[in-house]
Amino acid sequence: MDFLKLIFINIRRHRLRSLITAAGIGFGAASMLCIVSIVLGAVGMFQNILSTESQFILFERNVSDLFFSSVRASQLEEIRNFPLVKRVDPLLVGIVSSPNHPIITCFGVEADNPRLRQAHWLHGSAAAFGREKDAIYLGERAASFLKATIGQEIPIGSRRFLVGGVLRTANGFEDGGVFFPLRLAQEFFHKESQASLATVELRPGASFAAFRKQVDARFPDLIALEDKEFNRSYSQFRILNVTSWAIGICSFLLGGMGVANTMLMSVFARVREIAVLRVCGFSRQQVAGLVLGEAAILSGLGSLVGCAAGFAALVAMNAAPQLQGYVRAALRMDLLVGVAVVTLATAIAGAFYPAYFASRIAPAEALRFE
Amino acid sequence: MNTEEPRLGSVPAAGEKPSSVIVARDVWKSFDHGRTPVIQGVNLEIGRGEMVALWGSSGSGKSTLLHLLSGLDRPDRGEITILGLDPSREETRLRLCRRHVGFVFQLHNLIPDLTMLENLRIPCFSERRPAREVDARARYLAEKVGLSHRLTSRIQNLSGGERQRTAICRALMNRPEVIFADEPTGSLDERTADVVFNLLLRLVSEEGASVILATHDQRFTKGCHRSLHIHQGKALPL
Repeated sequence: MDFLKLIFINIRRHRLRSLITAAGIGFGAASMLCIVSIVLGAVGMFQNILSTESQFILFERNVSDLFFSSVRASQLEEIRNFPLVKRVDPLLVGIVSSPNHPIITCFGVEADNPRLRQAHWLHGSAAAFGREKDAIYLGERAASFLKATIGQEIPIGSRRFLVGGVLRTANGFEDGGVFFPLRLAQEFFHKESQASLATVELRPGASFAAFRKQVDARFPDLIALEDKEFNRSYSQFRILNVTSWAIGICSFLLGGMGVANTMLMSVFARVREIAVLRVCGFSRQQVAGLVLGEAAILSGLGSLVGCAAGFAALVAMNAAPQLQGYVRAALRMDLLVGVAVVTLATAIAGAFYPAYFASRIAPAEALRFE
Repeated sequence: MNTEEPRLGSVPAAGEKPSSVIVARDVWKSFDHGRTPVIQGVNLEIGRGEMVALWGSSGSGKSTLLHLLSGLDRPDRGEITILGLDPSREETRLRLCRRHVGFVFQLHNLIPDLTMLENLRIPCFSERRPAREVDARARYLAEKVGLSHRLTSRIQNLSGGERQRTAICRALMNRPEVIFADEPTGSLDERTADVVFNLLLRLVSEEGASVILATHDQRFTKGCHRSLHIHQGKALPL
C-alpha cells in the first residue's frame, strides 16, 4: 500500500475543497512574491540611483527622507578639495506632477555625472546635456508615457520645458524620471545652491575612516555613509523592509488559519476512516503524516500556481505605463525558494493541530461515531 | 489460480504461548463520567481457537465489551490481556493490531476510493512486508471468499455482501490469532447475512483463530462454541 496514494485519495475525494485551499495558498504565495519583488526592486533601484561609481553617500544628518535633505553647494565645494576625494557628484531629487501623471521624479545632476555617461542615449547625447536653455532630458519610459520626443515642449509641474534628449538607463526610477541640469533643478525647486545629497568617490587607497572623520569634524550637520551602510540604515529602506515582513507575517497567519480550517474539516470528515486505519495498525505518527502530507501537497500545488501567477502579475505591472518602471519582474531563485519554503511552513504550521487531533482519535470512540 | 497459502506473521510473544488468548478480570466500564455504567465486573477467558458469541439486545454493552476485550478501549477498572500482553499500552496495542488480531465491523469500513486489493494491503502497510507476499495472501483470501475476480474493482462498485466479505479478508490478512467481529452481518439482508456468517466461521476455523462475535441475532450464537448473554453490564452463560 502506497502511503502517498492514501494522501492523494483524500485530495481527489474533495477536489473542489482541495482546489480552493490550493488557490488560497497560491494567492498568498503570489501576493508575497509580488510584494517582496516590488519592495526589493524599489530598494534596489533606489540604491542604484545613489551609488553610481561612488563609495560614500553624503547627506544631511537626522533627516528621515532624502527628499528633505539639504547639502549646500559651498559644503560640496569644500569637500571636493579634500585631498582624499577624487570626485563629488551632487544630486537634487524632487517630485512634480504633470497632466495625467501625478508623480514624476526629477533628478538634478551636473553635466559630467557618470550616470549620464553610462546611459544609452536614444535621442541627443550626454555631451549636449545642459547646453540648451531650459532643456530637460527624459528617461525612456517617461518619454513614452509623456508622449514626448526631442525638440518638443512639454509641461512639467507649473512650467514648460524643452526636451533636449531621451536616454535609457538600467534603473526603473531613472527611466521613469526626468533629468534636469543641476542649476535648472535648483531654480525649479527653489533650492538655489543646494543638493539633496552627493555621492563621493575617494582616491585609490584613501582611508574611508579618515574621510568620514574629516566630514564629521568639518560639517557636523552632514553624515557620510558607505553605500552598504546606507542601505542598512536608511530609514525608508527599513520601513519598506519592516512593512514587507509585516505583510508577509500577516499572510503567513491568514494562510495558516485557512489551512488549519481545511485540514480540520478534512479530519472530521474521515474520523471513521482514521479509526479503521488505527485498528489496522497505523501509528499516531503515520496518521499525523497523512494530514501533514495532504497539507504539504496542497501547499506545493499552491506554491507552483502562486509563483506562476505572481510572476505573471509582475510582468503585467512591469508593462503598465502607469507604474513607470518602478516594478522589475525578475524571477530570483532565492525569492522563489523563500516563498516556497514560507508557504510550506505555513501549511505545515496550519496542519499541525489537525494532524495532532487526528493522531489522538480514539478508535473505539470514532467507530461509535455515525 | 493461487491456492498455496503464504505464511505471514509470526508467533506472538517470545516464550510459552498462553492457553487463553484473552483474559478479562473484573472489568468495569461506564460513560458520562461514571453516570452510565455499561460493563460491570465482567470476568472472561477465551481459549485458543474458541468461538465465543456475545449476545444481547441493542445497547446492552456487547460492542463496548468487544472494544474492551480487543484493546480498542480501556476499562475504568479491571485487567485485560490479549495473548498475555497488556493492550492498554500504545506500542503493545499497535503490535497486536499489526500481527495478532483482526477486526470485522457492522459497516464494512473499507476505503471506497481504493480497490479491493488495495484495501486488503492496508493491514500489512506498517509491517512493510514484501508486496509479492502480501498480494499472494490477498489473492488467496479473495479466492476463498469467491471474489478473486473483484480484486481490482473499487469498493464503491461492490455489493453489500461483497464488501463485507472483503472486510473479512482484510481482518484475516495478517493471519491473526483472534478475530473481533462486531455485528458483522448487521447491515446485510438475512440470506446474505447467513452466507457471510458461515464464510466467516469457516475461514476463521481454517485459520485456527479464536473469534469473539458481538451479535443481537440469536441465530448466529448457535455456530459458536460458547455464548454469553450480555445483560445489565454482566456476561452470563446462555
